Amino acid sequence: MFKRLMAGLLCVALATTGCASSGVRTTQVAQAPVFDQRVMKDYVEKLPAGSRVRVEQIDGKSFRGTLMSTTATAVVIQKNTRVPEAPMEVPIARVARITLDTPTGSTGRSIGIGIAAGIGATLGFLAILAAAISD
Amino acid sequence: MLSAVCAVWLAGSAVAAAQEAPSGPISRSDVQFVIGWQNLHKPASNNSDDWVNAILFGGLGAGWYWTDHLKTQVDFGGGTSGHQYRYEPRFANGTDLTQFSRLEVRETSLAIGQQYQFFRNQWFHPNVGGGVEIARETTTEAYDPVFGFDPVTRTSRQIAPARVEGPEHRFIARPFVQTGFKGYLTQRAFFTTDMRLMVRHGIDEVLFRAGFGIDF
Repeated sequence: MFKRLMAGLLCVALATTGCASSGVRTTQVAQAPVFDQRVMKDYVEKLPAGSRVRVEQIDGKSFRGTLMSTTATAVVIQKNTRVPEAPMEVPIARVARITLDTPTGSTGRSIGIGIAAGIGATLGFLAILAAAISD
Repeated sequence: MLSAVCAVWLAGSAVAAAQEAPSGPISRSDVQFVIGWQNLHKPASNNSDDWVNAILFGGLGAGWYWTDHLKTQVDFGGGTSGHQYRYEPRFANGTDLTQFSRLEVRETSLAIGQQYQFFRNQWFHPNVGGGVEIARETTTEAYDPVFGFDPVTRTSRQIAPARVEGPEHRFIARPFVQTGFKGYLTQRAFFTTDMRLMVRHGIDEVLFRAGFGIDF
């Protein structure tokens, strides 16, 4: 019992005091990534209006939309939403990354898939219901 | 329990109204029609299955969006008659007998609840919610005649005649919780499905619904 207790205490001591670590301990401070706004602006200016883009902001939030225009300090983007919304202005200082968003399918195809999924789910539901009622 | 649900609902509506964005929600209201599968918990002392499952449900609902995420929903609906076969042991003339009966149950309900809808202005919106349902339940129990074997005359004879109890009507108020989603087919038209659990001394009813609706 005493040996187990001692072994446990030693393990805790080794793990918490840093005796078991190798090399010099250094304090690591998380550094915020530095973005060159001039480079970002040059890049965004080269994108044609109407491009579908994915915007990642420095606070970690991201969204997809259509690039409408670029000013000296901001990009104007209309978000991809179900009901169209007014374009929003995103300051370049807040942009961490903009990438071209290549669509994998057409809107018609997406709507078709949605309708098929809805009808399929409903028919499946009705089939289960019919089976339950005839039971 | 009911008052707690009401308090949460009222608080949610008040907070939602206070936090409403200046531009208002994307949609102000919606209406929907649904069909569903209703499952009622009807415990009987000797039955192994306490649930009445074979009930088709139909309903209409309307919702009011306080914000893009908070919605008050009112639903009206009813189910077809469900049946449960029951039996009760009886003892008469020194013989063990069995009393068989058939319970018929039907519910019409009005539910008001508060939902939280995830995401904003997307094509797929899961939601969770809760509220109170007031149901009018009609039950009728038809008892089969009871026959017993008379060992003296060595014939079977009727010991109890067939009888019907009901229909009896009663109102039940139950809190419920629910989860489901809306999947949009166009900008305004949507497919919706959800599962609702009504609570009263445990889970008293399970309702699966699916249907279509439109936003305004």
